[in-house]
Amino acid sequence: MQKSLPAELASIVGPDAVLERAEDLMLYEYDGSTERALPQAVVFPATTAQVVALIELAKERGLVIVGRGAGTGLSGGAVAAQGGLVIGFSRMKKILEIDIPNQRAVVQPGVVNIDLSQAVQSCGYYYAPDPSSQKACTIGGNVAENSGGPHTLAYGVTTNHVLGLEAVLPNGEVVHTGGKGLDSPGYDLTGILVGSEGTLGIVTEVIVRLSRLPEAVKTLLAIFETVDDASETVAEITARGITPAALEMMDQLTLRAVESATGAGYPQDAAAVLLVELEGLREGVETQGVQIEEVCRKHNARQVRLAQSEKERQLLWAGRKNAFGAMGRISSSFYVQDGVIPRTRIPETLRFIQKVSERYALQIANVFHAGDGNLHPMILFDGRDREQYRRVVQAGAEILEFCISIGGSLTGEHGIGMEKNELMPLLFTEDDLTVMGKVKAVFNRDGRLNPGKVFPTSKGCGEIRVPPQIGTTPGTIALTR
Amino acid sequence: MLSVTCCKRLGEIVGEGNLTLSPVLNGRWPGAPPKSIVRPADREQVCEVLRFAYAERLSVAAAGSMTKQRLGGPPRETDILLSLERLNRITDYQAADLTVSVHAGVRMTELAAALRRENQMLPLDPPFGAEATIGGVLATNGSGPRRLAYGAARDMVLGMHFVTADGRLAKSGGKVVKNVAGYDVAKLLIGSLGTLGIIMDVTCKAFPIPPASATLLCGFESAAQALSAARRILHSPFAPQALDLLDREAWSLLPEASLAGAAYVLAVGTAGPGPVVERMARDIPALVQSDHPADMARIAGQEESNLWSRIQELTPSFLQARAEGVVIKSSVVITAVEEAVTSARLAALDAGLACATLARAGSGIVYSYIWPETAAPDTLVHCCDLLVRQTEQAGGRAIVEWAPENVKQRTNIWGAQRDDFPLMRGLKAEFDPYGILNPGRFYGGI
Repeated sequence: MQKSLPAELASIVGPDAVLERAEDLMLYEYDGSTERALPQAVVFPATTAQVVALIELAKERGLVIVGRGAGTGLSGGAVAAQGGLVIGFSRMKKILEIDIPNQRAVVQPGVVNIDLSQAVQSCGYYYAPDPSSQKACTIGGNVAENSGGPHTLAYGVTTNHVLGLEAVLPNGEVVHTGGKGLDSPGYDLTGILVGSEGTLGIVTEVIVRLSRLPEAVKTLLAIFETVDDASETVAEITARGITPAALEMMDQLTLRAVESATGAGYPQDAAAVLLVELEGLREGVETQGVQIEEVCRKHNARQVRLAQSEKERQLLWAGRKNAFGAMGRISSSFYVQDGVIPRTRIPETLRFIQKVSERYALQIANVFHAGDGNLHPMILFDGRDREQYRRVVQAGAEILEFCISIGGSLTGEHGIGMEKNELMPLLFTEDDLTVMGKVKAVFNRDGRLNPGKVFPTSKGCGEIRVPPQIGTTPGTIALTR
Repeated sequence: MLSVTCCKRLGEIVGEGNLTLSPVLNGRWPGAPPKSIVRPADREQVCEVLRFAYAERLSVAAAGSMTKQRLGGPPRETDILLSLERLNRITDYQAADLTVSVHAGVRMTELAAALRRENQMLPLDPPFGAEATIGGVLATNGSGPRRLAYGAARDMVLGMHFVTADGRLAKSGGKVVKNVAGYDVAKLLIGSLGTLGIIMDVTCKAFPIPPASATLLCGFESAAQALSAARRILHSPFAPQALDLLDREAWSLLPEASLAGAAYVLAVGTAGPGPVVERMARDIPALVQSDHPADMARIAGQEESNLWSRIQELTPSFLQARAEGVVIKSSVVITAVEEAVTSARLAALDAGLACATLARAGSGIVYSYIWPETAAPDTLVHCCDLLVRQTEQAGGRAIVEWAPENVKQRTNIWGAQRDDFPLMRGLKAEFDPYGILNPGRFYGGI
């Protein structure tokens, strides 16, 4: 007689690495997004061989598979939209190799992003892509989402720092793409896997590029009386070809929350601030600092403050990186958006968001990677108010449509997941989606890897899902075009 | 010969003036020439041509300026050479956004000129720079010295449009610098030698031209010393633009007077604000003293840009001077560059062949230029096989990038395939089920 699923899973990973009781599964029902769905079981393999065995078992049983790192994702990537088996990587968190002379590291997918940088810091190196959630998020998750972060402005996103992968395909085959060297002959399979949101393979090892720590770092805080001044400053910095390592903006609503949470010295009465980081040789940092200050003052900056110590610098960044968390101080619920636009259109986009805020009678706080044009409007609402919530989702959709209309994209770094998959037709034609479907057919023909993600599930014009909130039923809102 | 119906239909699509039958291609096409050259005016015509070719199972090779058609496996009988030369406009240059969108047929020189007017650049530096089109550069994943600082095509491309084997126009990515919507199909097309789709246009990042630059040339007696110096620089905070190692034979292919006689020259490109360049000019020579440079020079201005142009063009210069030679491209880790350089040299000399070397010391890419002086032709084939195998055994990868046809036919130019090869075959089968796009010319015979 066939063993029960939990028994089979336990025989692969050990009984203490299997969760199947309802009360345990509930912890894995959600991630950093507002999506929610119960998996059938959650397992924590410790080796690639165990992952292979799990995937073979899933194939036998016709189970769908969802990979999970730290569950910090904001588009529902780790949510088991169609149930099935969640494979969590918290037991595969070894840094397998640190190869400083070759500027490489080989890690298991469960390694926490900041832990990797910290492990190589004493050698004068770090891992450049730095998502705001880097204290929790994992390299495997970063690979799935092609994660960004403030410093990707100068250094590139995850795909520019991943050189090779080990991955398990849905049929249980293990493949190795790329390597420590560049330009592996053949098609760039590493490149197609990064950012595929767990729908093309389950990654079990990652070869990354390590970067040399800069000689000098200078962090500036520029304070503005109007959002327009701050966003015009960003546009001009870009236009003048000054490339800071990071260029972040926060508006007043965000500043209030952040200052209350972190006490970093952010001015609560400013309309907006720019947090600018310059890195490199001392001389380069000096030169850039002068240029940045000049542009800020040209756009009426009230003050341009230089962080005087490492501690002050860390506090300023802690404030920025904890912005989402800090919002909880001023609103019980909020909906984080991820949109991206050309940098020169930041001023008009922020003005548009302001209008949306007024029209929908919703408060919207803005924090974003201004240097990349990657915005994160945070729409605040009362989680108990169902009507307000529907308006929130609609407002968010309008902002996204605006971003696309001026040449932007649906997502700068959070991914499509199950949050925006129905909106893909706003950006991609049927032929575009057919081509992507061909890629999926090669890796994941029977669709068992992370189903319900990336691709639209319904035909026709974009509809936005209204993810479940307590007390509401999920539904859809059709978008006007 | 193409059938009368085919000729008629193709003539209808692009206009008879843009259809050449039984063309004569001197030297730029390996083997028997394609049966036709078709020159579409725009994307729509490209789609129509492909739809027709797909239906009739006609084989298609995309082409720009034809500078690199000798790369890769020899073409089989080709029905249509699809020239993209008429798709030659810069369609959207947003200097203030640091993004530029161009047709595939735009020449790199034209793009560079347009960007320079706004004090910007695309630091891709591929060989054949005088004539190459951006489509061809991307299809062959061309790169040059400054990949150390700026990366290669995959790091600069924000999005592209392409036409599939069955004539659909599709896109990947967009026009913004951060974008994770959908699969990154552009990554598959880059370097794919036109075997998955035909690139129509691309949006790239543009980069500000640094205010100042200078290059330090350091002469060394041995590869070991030169590469030790290179590694020292790499692990320092100096972040050079380029770190290229040339041996005496390679150096002599460049008409440069300075440092003549050095066994190995390490060219260190530096750029940035004035004070940064000055700092590096002071500190880098001091840094490498312990590797005993025999000689040092600093060049800037026109002399500097001439040097890097010539380094960029080393492969074309070599191919022109030594038509019977081969170019082997190895990718290894930084610490294995020394071994790759010395073992290639030894293998060539042992076989009675001559050898020149260019190594991108910071990127681990080594170009071995090998040609017969007195040796029998067979020797070249054996040497290629040996070098590729040796590199693989040492944990790297190697391909025979350029070689005369009779050598290519007798050696495995792509090296060994690995466990991800079935996925590559799978992609080809999905994207081009009838194998009409450059069949047989890609990795592993795809």
